Amino acid sequence: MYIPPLEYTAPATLAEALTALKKTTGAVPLAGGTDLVVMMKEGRAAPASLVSLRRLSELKQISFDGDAVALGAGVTVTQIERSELSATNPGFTDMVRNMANQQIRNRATVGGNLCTAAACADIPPILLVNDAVAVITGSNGERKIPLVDFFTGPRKTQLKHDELLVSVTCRAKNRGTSYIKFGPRKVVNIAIVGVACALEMDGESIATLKIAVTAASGTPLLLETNDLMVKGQKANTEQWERVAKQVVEHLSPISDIRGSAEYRLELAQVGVIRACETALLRLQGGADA
Amino acid sequence: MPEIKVIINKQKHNLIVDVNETVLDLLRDRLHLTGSKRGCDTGDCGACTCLLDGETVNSCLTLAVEVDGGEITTVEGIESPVIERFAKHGAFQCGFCASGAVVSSAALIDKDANPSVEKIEETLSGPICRCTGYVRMIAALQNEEHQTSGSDRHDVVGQPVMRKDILDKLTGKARFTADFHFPNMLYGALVKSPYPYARIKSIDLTEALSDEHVLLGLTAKDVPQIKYGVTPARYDETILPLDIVRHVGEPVAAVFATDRRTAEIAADNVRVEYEPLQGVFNAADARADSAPELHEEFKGNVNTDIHQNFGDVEAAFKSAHYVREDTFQGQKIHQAFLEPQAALAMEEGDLINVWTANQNPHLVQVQLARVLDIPQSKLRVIRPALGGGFGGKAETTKLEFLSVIASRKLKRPVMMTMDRKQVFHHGRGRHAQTVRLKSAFNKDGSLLATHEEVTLEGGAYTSYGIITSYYSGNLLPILYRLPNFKFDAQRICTNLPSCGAMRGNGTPQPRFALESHLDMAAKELDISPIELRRRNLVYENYKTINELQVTSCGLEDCLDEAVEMSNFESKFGKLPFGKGIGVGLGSFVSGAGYPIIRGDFPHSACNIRVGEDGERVFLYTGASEIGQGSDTVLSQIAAEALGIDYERVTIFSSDSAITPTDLGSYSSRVTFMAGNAVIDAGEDIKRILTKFWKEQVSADATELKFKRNIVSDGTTEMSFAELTLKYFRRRGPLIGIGTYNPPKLGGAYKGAAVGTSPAYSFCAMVAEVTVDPKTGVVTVDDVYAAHDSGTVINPITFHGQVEGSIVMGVGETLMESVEQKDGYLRNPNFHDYILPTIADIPRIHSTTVDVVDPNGPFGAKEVGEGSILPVMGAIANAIDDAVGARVMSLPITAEKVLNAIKANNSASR
Ligand SMILES: Cc1cc2nc3c(=O)[nH]c(=O)nc-3n(C[C@H](O)[C@H](O)[C@H](O)COP(=O)(O)OP(=O)(O)OC[C@H]3O[C@@H](n4cnc5c(N)ncnc54)[C@H](O)[C@@H]3O)c2cc1C
Ligand code: FES
Ligand code: FES
Repeated sequence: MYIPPLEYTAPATLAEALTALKKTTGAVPLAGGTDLVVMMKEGRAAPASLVSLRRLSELKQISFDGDAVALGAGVTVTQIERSELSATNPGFTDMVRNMANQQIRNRATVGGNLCTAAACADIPPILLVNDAVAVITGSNGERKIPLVDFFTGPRKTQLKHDELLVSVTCRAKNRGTSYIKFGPRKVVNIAIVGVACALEMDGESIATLKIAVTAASGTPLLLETNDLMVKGQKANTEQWERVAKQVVEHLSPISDIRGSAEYRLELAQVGVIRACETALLRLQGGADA
Repeated sequence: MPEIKVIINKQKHNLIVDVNETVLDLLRDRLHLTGSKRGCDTGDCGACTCLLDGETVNSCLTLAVEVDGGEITTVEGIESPVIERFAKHGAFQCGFCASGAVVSSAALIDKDANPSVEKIEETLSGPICRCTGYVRMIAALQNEEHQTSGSDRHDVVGQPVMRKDILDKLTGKARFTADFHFPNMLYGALVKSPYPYARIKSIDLTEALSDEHVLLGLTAKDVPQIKYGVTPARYDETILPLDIVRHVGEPVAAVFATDRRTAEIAADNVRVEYEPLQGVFNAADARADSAPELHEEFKGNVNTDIHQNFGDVEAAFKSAHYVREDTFQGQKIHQAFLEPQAALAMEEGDLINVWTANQNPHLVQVQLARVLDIPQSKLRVIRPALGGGFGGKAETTKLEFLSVIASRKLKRPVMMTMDRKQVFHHGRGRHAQTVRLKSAFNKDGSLLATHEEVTLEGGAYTSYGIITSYYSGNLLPILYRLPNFKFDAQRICTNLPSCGAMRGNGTPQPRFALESHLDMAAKELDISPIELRRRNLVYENYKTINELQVTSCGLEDCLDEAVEMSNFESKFGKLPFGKGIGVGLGSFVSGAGYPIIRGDFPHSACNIRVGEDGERVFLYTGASEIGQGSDTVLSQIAAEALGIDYERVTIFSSDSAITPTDLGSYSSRVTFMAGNAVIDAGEDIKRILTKFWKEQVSADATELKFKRNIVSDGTTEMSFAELTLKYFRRRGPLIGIGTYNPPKLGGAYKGAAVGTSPAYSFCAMVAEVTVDPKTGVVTVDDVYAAHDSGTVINPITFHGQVEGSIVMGVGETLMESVEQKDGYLRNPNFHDYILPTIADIPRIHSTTVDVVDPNGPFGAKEVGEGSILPVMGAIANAIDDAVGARVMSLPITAEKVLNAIKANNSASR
């Protein structure tokens, strides 16, 4: 198990990084390396050259702007854990707790997770239910796209070879969020299924509801209030069961070593119900964050 | 090549690095800071954990170029109170995982001196530990006592003394095989088959050898074609095969270069032409008429065929009140010891030194001598610190053979290591057994007969398989009285990595089957599962129908204890839906009655030399410390035997040039057999000193008492040190010699030797579980374990074995399985082959019953293997109690539980 010989540069600015990517065929960005290094060792990736993002401090910021937050692509999961976000948007704390282990979280970045675009990735769902937008930059300038459109297939994104994901912006304050993940053991799991939820209430009835599911389709699935036909409806168990049934209609899971497609659909339903229940409890000031 | 500036353990370094060099490569291979371990190289095990600018990282996933300007702290640079806490609590066994855990915990304790369990779990879910079950790590970090109270029947035996090896392991000082480095050392890499079954047409080394740093390539033509294996009746492996490969990952050639990566690249540059053949990947296909025969000598791919019949089961089935038949399916699991296999060979002086990560160095010595035609005494086989074995490192591998061959050809030291993927492909894990049980019962639940039929899917080669096959039935009658017993087994060869001996060798899946089968019968007979078991237990001095002799036996007390501790009777069948409780029992040998390679020599031998100043004794034993604590336990036994302090005993184990032969660490034999040999050596010294005393001190003395460092004849006393110093001055070195041989055991029928033992351990366990009925997810909340292992020599290492077994058992029951498709392993790594983490463990309540075995050293028996046997059955029974779902195949995944629950629902509708 070894990494084949390759080139390396660690540019000091974003512009230099983009140039390096454009100039060198087979150049690939390197963030925390927790996906890429494994892939190189296992022969699943063989880049000719690495463009390290380690010196790009602008990618490593979490900046709040009113109700919104911009997470730099180089922000680590540990940074999220230590940020205000974990207090104002409890679903992020759920995500952090359910992701990998401490050593990995210290290195794993948001950008790396989104750009690897594994069908079972844990970061996309919670971002999706918080209206995330991906900010991409390339030699032709910057573009912003809804995160849901960023993913085009398992391990496929809209990113071009000479583009970088710079940041993701999403809602910072959202008390009614949650993330439920099922894996083959208690922690450090590749998800069998993961479900994020964001709920807002208008008195006794649902104002908005967003559900995102990972590991049950080639790309993360996002369903919003209108898709779910829940506006103005009651927030109760029957409602969540109905929503759950509706959500699974949109899923196309595979069977693999961690679980069959049928089991994934089963878990997705349970996940939706529990994620909604948790979100509601949080809105009511009940459940912990 | 990039240059980096980095501070490592407070020391500044300017280094030229390769882009493809990880921090772990840099630390280990270049700076020889080998405290950080390579357990997986893919970020999954945490053994390589270091601090980078104060935060934990996996050094195997961090490129060296990326730490330019940073500061790294490895275990060697950690100064923290956790080291002492871990040492005191005996938190580690093999210690291979210790550096990752120490680094992570030191950072935690720095911030929070008394962390919560939640915080500990969060911090320590990275480093995977296969030995300990994590229980003592948590206790240590919380500064809590945990089952460490000893018995005061003896002075040293029974005391919770600190492990001999633990401080070195906690500070990164302990050297494991792959940690050694010698000037001019070369590295070997294996060329492995990409096909499950193929004919080798040609091997071309030209391209590989074109690199000037690649010095040698070896193929079948360059190595002896003498077959080897474990048991002489089934020698079926060759160092490198001449024509046929029988599983993916089977080595076909090896190359040797000046560094590890160059060797691996060269291995990839060896061009091998294969003609792929149609293989067989399960027992049924392998038995089909159309199946290819993998070995000429195993007709129909039947590698082992056993038929035993005691009494008359058919008559019992005809006349019994109740008969039931159930079939259970086991899975393959791997020992998943954290340290991958490694071997290092080097000629030095008259000898060829071989350091090897092997739990049976003596067997390695025998096979190397036999196959390579080298006199045995010319081979000095040394087992350095060993990172866990559990049976998976109990046989000679290609690494030992090839490193010796290459080091002799090249006249340089040669190191070979396996990566994690190769460890899985080398295999030797647990067989998948299909176990059919048919039993007859009386109305009151007494067992009248059992017919057990087992099919073992064994993989490409025999390994320990013939013994595994016998064990899967021969040991069934050692727990419950079986007046009639029939046992048929077949081990089948397939084109998959070979299965071998794993903790409990052959018996865990049949035990899972029997314990489940008994609960199912109890339900039908409307008897409590405890009552049904109680009616059938074996007892002291019972002889089984297949002629195994029980000596001491505290089985009933174990059952009583486990039932009482857990409050079983008030919970079973009465807990709310989703909560359940279940029981399982187990029993295992304390050392096999017969050696693997038959020979007329002691099973264990040792000597004790008293240091010339009289202040210390040196114990030399071939017994293998593999994490289980044998160095500690044998030192305690030596101290007790001589009446001196534990601190005055220094042990040297497993170095064939200086330690007398011991057969190795398998079949739970070390405490019992090596322990008895140590007592024998102690007695020898006492005999010599008694004679000396009569000549030099007091002619009237009859018997000397050796206690607490004082020797006394009732009137005169002298310190042990003073007396032995006197002895040295007058007589020279004082050496005691000890041996152990079990008595002749067992019946005369074919296969009667397997299962014999001078003593059997017994245990009972109760598991409590929570099952999420919506997802099938099982949480094992509590395990209550009561053991009869005779005298407990050291409560820390004893309960450590119990805890480690239980957690390994939880993994085996709920999550672990080596999966394959068409001969290709689907999960030969630690991201897909998952092991229990610190968050997956139950609360463990472990106790012992008071039994002193008449033949064990100070009354001791085994614990290391027996304690895994009840786990699967207990959990399966608890799941059934929780949700009425009986899962009869392993592992009992959440999905299977959910499906069973749903099947119930639709049946009751
Ligand atoms: C033991 C272990 C456990 C894990 N557990 C989990 C888990 O529980 N959940 C989970 O979701 N994942 C898990 N992972 C996967 C991985 O840690 C995450 O996906 C992580 O977020 C990847 O981030 P990184 O910074 O390490 O990415 P890298 O490995 O550095 O990069 C990943 C990919 O993204 C590209 N890339 C990175 N940054 C950018 C950018 N700004 N613009 C364009 N392309 C970019 C790289 O070129 C590369 O192709 C685990 C991995 C390991 C080894
Ligand atoms: S060796 Fe780095 S995590 Fe296993
Ligand atoms: S002590 Fe942890 S792996 Fe052996």
